[in-house]
Amino acid sequence: MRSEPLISIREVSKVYYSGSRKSPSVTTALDQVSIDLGKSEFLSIVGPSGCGKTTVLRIMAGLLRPDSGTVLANGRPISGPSSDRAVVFQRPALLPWASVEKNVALGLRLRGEAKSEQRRLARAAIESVGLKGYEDYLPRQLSGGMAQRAALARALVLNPPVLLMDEPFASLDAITRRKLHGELLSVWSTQPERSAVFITHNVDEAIILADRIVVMSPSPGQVAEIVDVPLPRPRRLEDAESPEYLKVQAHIWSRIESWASN
Amino acid sequence: MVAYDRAGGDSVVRYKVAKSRHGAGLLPLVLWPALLLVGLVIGWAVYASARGGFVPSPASVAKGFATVIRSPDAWSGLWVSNVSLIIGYLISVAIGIPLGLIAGSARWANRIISPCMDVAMLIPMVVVMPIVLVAAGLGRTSEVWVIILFAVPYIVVPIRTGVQTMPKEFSDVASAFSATWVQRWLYFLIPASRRSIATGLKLGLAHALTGLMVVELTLVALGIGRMVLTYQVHFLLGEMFAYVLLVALEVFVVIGLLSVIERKATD
Repeated sequence: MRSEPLISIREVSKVYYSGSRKSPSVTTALDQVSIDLGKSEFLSIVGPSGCGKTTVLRIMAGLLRPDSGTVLANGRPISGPSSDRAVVFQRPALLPWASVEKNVALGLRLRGEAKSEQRRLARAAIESVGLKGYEDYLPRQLSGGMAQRAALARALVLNPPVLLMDEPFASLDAITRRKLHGELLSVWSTQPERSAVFITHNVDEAIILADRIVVMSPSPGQVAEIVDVPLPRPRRLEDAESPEYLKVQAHIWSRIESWASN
Repeated sequence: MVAYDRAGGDSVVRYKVAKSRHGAGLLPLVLWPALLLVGLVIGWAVYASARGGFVPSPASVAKGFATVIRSPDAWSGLWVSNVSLIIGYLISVAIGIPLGLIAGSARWANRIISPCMDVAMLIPMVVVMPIVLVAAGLGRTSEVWVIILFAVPYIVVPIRTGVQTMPKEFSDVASAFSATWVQRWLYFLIPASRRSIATGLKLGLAHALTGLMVVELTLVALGIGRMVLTYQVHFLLGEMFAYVLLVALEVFVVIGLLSVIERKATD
């Protein structure tokens, strides 16, 4: 039995309008979507392009308002972004004029923390993502993987109860992505009380990282199924060879392929 | 030459700039401009002699330069104009930077500001100048107003464009961190627009100078304009050319300094 959810979205719908006044175009991104995020839970949302994964995350982050439905964090309506829900975007979006340390300390700076505290916490977060020694580097001096790790540190430094990640490894090559999966699992094993929502279109990534996987169907975006991942924690990348992993993988692929064939 | 050393997909990219052969490049660097200068001076001397005194020769301009730099009136003229320029330019910057940032970040503001800037850039300012003179009188106030009219659009437009092309991700990051309106400006908008601000400052100064020269040579005979007209009236063409050269040197130095600022902002 799960405890009261940290974030709960209930029957949420969202429509996007585009085009001109004469020929308006309406896209239903989400239709009656309900998802709960429990305490200390790692939740992945997986689905094909255009199924509304990112819209769900932006609604959870408070960056977007739904057209209908309720969105609660700790039982209270979400009215906007909060430092309790840190976001890692698809692109690192590091400030190019600031060093890695200053980028990581950005949230602390905006929160008005003392400079010495900013430095201490930023350096600890940088070390936790394996970037020690690169504090004074500028974003343009980093590789894609390093920049995304700095973006992760920028979110972790605030010590948020919930981390929302929007396809953070999507633009990385397979080797770097695998390395970052290992590092994220390692960070997670040291902070098991934290919850996370991880958006991805990569089924393997979703299985190796998550406790539960929300499989979304496209056009309009709906929750097709929520799959439990029966792999124990702490996880290792080698768990991808276990029979449980392969069973979940086959099940999710069969769902996704059924939409592709329709 | 730039050599790239990327050791693996997840390591830092190191740029090694190979030492260029400065020694070998020095001679052409000095020789060609020097030859060009000598060629220009010879061409100028030939043309001046062919025009029979209507164009001062290089020698008479050099003599005039020696006279001008010893003349208190010449320096006083430069000072009078520079004071107007500094006042007008600083006011233009104080107006132009916030206007550009607001126009770039708020659609409603852009709808109001952009048409005004387009009109100001398209309409010949010479047409507007007499109106300014009638309203503000024949003096420094008019000069300052004209400088502002010339400079502000060229400060606003690049800054507005710079802000409009700012990556959307920065806005998302600011929102995700619950940045206040002031924090958005201080930590995102202004630093992200630093290149366009530097470009706007440079273009604005160039147009402020143009405005100053136009108003002083056509309507309000003050400072540099008064000196140029005085030399012209007394047919002191060598001194007049030398004075214009002095003004050009000043402009060259100031624009050079702004270019350094622009380059620093681009780094």
